[in-house]
Parts: sequence; C-alpha cells; structure tokens
Amino acid sequence: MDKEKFLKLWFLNLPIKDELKIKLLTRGLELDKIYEMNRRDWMDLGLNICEADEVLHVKNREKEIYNQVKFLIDNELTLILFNDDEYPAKLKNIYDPPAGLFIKGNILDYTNTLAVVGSRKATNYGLTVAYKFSREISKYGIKIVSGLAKGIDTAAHLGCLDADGVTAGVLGSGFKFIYPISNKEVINRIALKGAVLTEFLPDEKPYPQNFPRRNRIISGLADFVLVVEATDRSGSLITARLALEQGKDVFAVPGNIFSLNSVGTNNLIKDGAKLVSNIEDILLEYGISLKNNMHSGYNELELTIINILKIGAITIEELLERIDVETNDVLRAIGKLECNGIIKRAFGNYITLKE
Amino acid sequence: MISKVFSLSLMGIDGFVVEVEVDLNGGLPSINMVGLPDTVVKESKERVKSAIKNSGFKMEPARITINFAPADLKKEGPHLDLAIAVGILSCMNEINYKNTLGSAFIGELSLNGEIRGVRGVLPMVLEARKNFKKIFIPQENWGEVDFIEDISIYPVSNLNEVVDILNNNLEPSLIPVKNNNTDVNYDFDFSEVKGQKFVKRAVEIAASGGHNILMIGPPGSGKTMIAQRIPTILPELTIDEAIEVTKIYSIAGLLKEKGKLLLTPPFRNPHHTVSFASFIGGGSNPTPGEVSLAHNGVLFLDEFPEFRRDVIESLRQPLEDGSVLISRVKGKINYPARIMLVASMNPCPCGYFGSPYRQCHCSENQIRSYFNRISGPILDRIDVQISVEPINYEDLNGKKEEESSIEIRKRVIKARKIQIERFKEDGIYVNAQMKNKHINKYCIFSKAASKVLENAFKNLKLSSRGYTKILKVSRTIADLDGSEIINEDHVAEAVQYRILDNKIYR
Repeated sequence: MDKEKFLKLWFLNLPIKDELKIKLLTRGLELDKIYEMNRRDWMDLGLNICEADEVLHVKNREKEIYNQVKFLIDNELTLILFNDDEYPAKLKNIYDPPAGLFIKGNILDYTNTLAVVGSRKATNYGLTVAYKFSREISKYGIKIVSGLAKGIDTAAHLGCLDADGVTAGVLGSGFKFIYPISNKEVINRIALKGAVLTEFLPDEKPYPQNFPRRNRIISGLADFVLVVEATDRSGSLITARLALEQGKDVFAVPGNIFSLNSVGTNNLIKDGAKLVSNIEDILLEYGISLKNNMHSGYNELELTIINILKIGAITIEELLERIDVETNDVLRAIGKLECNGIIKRAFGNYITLKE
Repeated sequence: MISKVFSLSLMGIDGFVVEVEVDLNGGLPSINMVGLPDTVVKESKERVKSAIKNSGFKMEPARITINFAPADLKKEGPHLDLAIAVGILSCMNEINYKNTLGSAFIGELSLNGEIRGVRGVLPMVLEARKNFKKIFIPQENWGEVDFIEDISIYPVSNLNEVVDILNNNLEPSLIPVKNNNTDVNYDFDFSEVKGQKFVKRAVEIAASGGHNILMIGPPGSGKTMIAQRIPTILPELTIDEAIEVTKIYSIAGLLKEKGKLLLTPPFRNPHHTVSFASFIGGGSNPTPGEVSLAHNGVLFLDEFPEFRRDVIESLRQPLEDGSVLISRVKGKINYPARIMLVASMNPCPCGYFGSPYRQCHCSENQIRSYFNRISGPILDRIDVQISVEPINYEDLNGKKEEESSIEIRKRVIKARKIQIERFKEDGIYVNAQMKNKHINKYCIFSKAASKVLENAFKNLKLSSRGYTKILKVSRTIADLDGSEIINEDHVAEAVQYRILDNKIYR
C-alpha cells in the first residue's frame, strides 16, 4: 500500500511538465516500470541529458518522499493521478490539466457545479451576495466550487456549508501550508461532505504564481462561473477568462458603478457575461425552477418591514424615517424578525432579508 | 508662650485635623518647622513673615519653632499659612489666644496679608464639622461650602479681618453666593441632534440602566455630538453624590472658576494621548485622575482604540468596583470612580467601513487588529454596542421637532427610581451593576420572551457573554416601559444593541 503511495509521490515529484507526466500515464505504463526507466529511456521521451539526470536524481530523495507519504497518511489525504478512475472527468478536458490531485474529504462527481469567485478585499455587499447566493443555490443540489481565499471565496463556502450543501475548495498551496490559515476550520467543515483539493505537493508554499494556476482547476471543475465582485485587475477575472477558454459561461453580479470592487464585474457584463441579480437567473441555466416560499404569520408592521427590505438592504435610521411608527416599536419588530432568522444585521447598521 | 492652633490637611478625598503648635524662644531670630512639612509648607514661613509685617503688626525678633501634629503624616499645600500666622500672632499677644480655641484655619497668605483660595476646602470643612465650632476659609472658596451646616464658616479675605473677628468675637459676615444651583442648565440639548432615532433610543436605555455604551461609526456621524449630550439626560446628582463629586474637584483644584457645589453629573472627555497617571490618578502625592473626575457622571473616550493599551486596560478596576486604589510610597488612596463609560470609535482604521458614501480601503485583517486593541474583558463591561450612521442632508436640514433632553430625562429618572427601589437591599443602584445572582432574581421572563431568547440564541449564534448583556439591557427596557416582567418586545429590542457580535469583528 505504502509502496503504491510512494511511487505516486515519486512520480509527482519528478521535475518534468505535467503534460509529459500525463502522456506517460495514458500510455498505460505501470508506475514501477517508469521507476525502472534509465537515462536512455528518458532521453527517448525528449528530455536532454541534464533533465534526464535530474529525473533520475529524484530517486535519491527517498527519505523526503517517505515523509510526504507519512504526511498523506497522517492527514488522511487521498492522492489520485490522471489515469485513476476517481480523477474528475471534467478536468481531463481542460488545457493543461494537473497530473495528480491531493484531496482532503470526499471524491465527488462534479456534476451540477457552480464556481463562485471574487475579490479577497470584498465589500459587505459582495460578501452578502456570495453568501446568500451560495446558500440558496446549494439548496437546489448545486455544488459550489471556490478558491478558499479570504473574502468572497470564504463567504461562498460558508453559505454552502450553512445550507448543509456540498462544496469544493481548491488551494493554491500544499496541504502543509494552508493559506489563509484562518480558513483551517472552514476546510475541516468542507471536508465533512465536500472536498478540498490541490495539485501542489504538500511542501509547496503559497507562492503568488500558484493562484492563477489554481484558477484553471476552479473553472475546470465548474459548469458555470459566477464572479461576485472584482476590481479591474482582479484574479477573479483570470478565472473568468479561463472559463471562457474552457467553453463555459460566465455570470457576473452587477454593482455600484462607483465601487472599485464592482468595476471588473460591470466590465464583464459589458463584454457579454450574463447579468445575475437573483438565484433564479442562475437556476434557469441549470434547468431548475424556483421553489415557492412566501412569508406568512407576521403582523402588519413586520410585513411592512419585510416589503421594504425586499427592495434591498437599508440602514436602521433610514427605515425609522420611512415608517411613521414609534422608534422602539420598529426596533422590536426588527428584533423579532432577526431572532426568527428572517432578517439579519450587517455592518454599518444595515439590515437585509436573509432569504 | 506656646499657642496651639488647628488646621486641616488632605489624605485622599478626606481631610484630617492638623495641630499647629507655635513657640517663641530666645536666640537668633529664625523660623523652624518640624513635623513632616513638605516644601510648600516650609516656604510658608517667608509668606507668613511678610504677611504679618504688611498687615501692620510688629514681627518681634525671636526664634520661632513650629510643630505640626500628627507628626507622622505628610502635610502639604499652602493652606496651613493662615494657621501658622494666627499661631504666631497669638504668641505675640496680638490675638486673644482663648478666642482661637474651637476654631480651625485654612488659607494661603499673600505677602500683603491677603488670603488666597486653596484646593480641597470642601473635604476639610466636612471633616472640621466633627471637631470644631468655627472655621476660617478663604472668601474665594465660600461658594463650595455654603450649604454646609453645623459649623460657623467665616469666609475671610485678609489677615486683619481674621484678627478683628477673633479679638472682637464677631459673627461671620456671609455674602450669599450668586446661586443658580436650583435650575440645572446645559449648553447642549438633544433637540439639536437631528434624526439618529436609533442612537438616541440606545443612549436613553444606556442612561437609564447605567450601561456603558460603545458607538461605532464613520467620521462625521455625530458620535461626539451625542456623547456630549448624555449628561443632559442623566438625573441630577443627589446631595450626597454632589458632595462626593465636589470633594474630588475640590482636591483636584478644579473648583476655582465654578466655586460651588456641583449638582450636574460631570462630563470628562480626555484626549486619547492621556497618560496613565492622569487618567487613573497618580503622582507622588496621588491626585484624582480622569476616571475619578467623571465619578457619578460620564467618561467619554473618543477614538477608543487610539488610547494607550495600558490606559484602556486600567479601566477594568473602576468599571468593576466603582473606585480606584492608587498605591504610592506616600500612601494608598482610594478614589471613587463610579462612571458611565461612553466610548466611540471608527469601524476600521480608515473610518469608512460600512459607510454608504465612501469606499473603505482596509483589509479584513486590518479591521480585526483594530478591534483587537480593545480587549475582551473591557468589551464585556460595555453592555450597549451600537453602530452610528452618517447623517444625510435631509436629516440635517429637517424642520422636524426633535425631543428635548428634559423629556428624555423624565423617562430616565422614572426608570432609575424603579431600579433604586428594586435594588434597595442589594447595595447596587442600576441594572448595569447586576451580577449573576441579581440577574437570576430580577430578570423574570414571560413565556413568549423565553421563546424569542431561544430563537435568538439559535439564529444569532450568541455567546454567553452576549446573552448576559441582552438580559441586562432587556431588564432596563422593561423598566422604561414600567413593566415588572420582561416580555418578548423587550428582548427583541435588546437584541438590537449588540453590534460587536457581528462576525467580521470576532
């Protein structure tokens, strides 16, 4: 058993392109055969003499690789290679797929998936949209894929988790260097029903250049990509571009034209991305129709508040101005709605409908 | 011949009696002082000598010994001058010594014999009441003690006047102070705050239950304006509270321009660069700090996270015990500090997080570390935490009549009365001071209220400390309603005043 893991890790440690690794794997060669290959065989594959020596040299790093094997076992990580049955079929179709994947959690089938991506420095608006959309959409059995970064990504994962949905997170580093570290708990929650994956070896640090690479996996695993908030130079736009290259539709959430965080998304819409303003817009693309749920059992004041909130978030002071009722009565109505989970408080005194 | 004259000195916020013994001996003319006088007291010999001469008396050349008793307590301050002068004059038979018996003397002399005002007259007179029939004080300080009975107070303005009164047994000539004490007047009023209904309601609740309050809002949202007006809705001080407050101000020497009993709750707003010692009290001869100067009133800390960490942390003891114990080499002094803390801060370092009008440039980490400057134990003691919105133009320009401070104060006083009645036997005054046993005893919920609480716990992910805060605040809201039982409305409203449980900050 360990032998197999050792060989897989040895193979992934080889300093050759993923393209070549996949070529070798799809030829149907057993890993132990590849292990036995000599310099001549490698050079026949198109490597020059230095590169071939480097490849053979990896055999001397046996101890390091055994440590990696131990790390996989200790942390209950699964390692799958391109030719394994568990390898996500969707990824096989993209340009430059990863040769192997490290997975914490479950092997998923990646049907009906939506990637939700966006800015790390998100506004309250973006976080709310990401959270709310993910939560609602996952109630319809759609899996949320995102990048486990701060801001929008985390909000999307959390939204899905709070609805008890299945979500997949793709890391831009090895499992030894989870970034941002504050998401460790989120990762553990995701792993219960969903999966956290990465193409990087456990020792890989979160180098900046890893994140654009990771994005191709996010878009690769998804059916559609939803960009919630992006500045005009955001990494989320890379994901959107990759999705288009992979032939997938991109959705974008419109934003305030003065908000820097919405410049990127508004531009996407200008360029033809589908404007998404409610979850129905998204569900339509999956061919799912919206369930009907109405608010009932509230008194007049509470219904007035709900109706005002249906138009959008509003601050408490504005609401008090709008409704001509005693201040404390309004506050009490808000309190009750909040306690019952109908509305929620956001920062800056804003209240919004939860549903 | 020996003469023994009495004066007083200060220890903390209380006075103690000092005996000043004067003896004239033969020998080279000089004045010697014994009995732990500090520098200011020692210097008084020069003032006394000149004052006596310039008041028209002849200073006989003699070796004068002055002893202060009790000898083991440090005496400080220039207010012993008058007692020393009276002692010397009675030794020289300029004053009938018998007439000085039963009197105490407080006052600083100037070289021409005039008597100047001094610090701490109120606590000294209060102490003197127990031992003496008469007390001489500077005219300047008359205002701060004019309400005291059981002792004849002689406000005097120069040394000749004192001699005159003593030799001829005159009655004190009391000039009534311009007295506008009966009517409390503030420069501010809540009717000037336009809009901001939510904040005003929160402030009303905080004032009613004595809850500390934290206001979070972008620059220009009116946090300072609101904080300044909080004293205007607090009940007036009772006479005992007023005496406590005036004593502290008297010791700190801050009464000079006011010069009368302080009947309004004090309002202090130290700048955030305040030093530890001036905030909590200190110095080698400890003087009261800002927390004590705000005793029975409001301590407003603007830009709360900008205060030095040790200054913020030093608030723990006063917020818990209502007093501060300052230990120095020269003694341990307990200053009262029962305050209502009003703190304000921006929602993030740049100030615009959550603002509808400006973009915030701070990262999540920056915001979190900004909030981490205020530790959990301090936040635990702030029951009402609200966020303040920037005011929009229509509100500013609105013609709408806003409620005046007097209206709000009436409700606050009503709620306070209920609390005082309820806590009669518990040794506390307001809901904010409730400990767990009081909460269990006095926070009685209706069935519906328990249901709302249960839902709140589930849906809002309340922590246990957030839970206790909601209980206390809902008790106050019920008191404002005049309701003995806490019902669902009260709980639902209390839930609105806990913005810091918001996920972004924890």
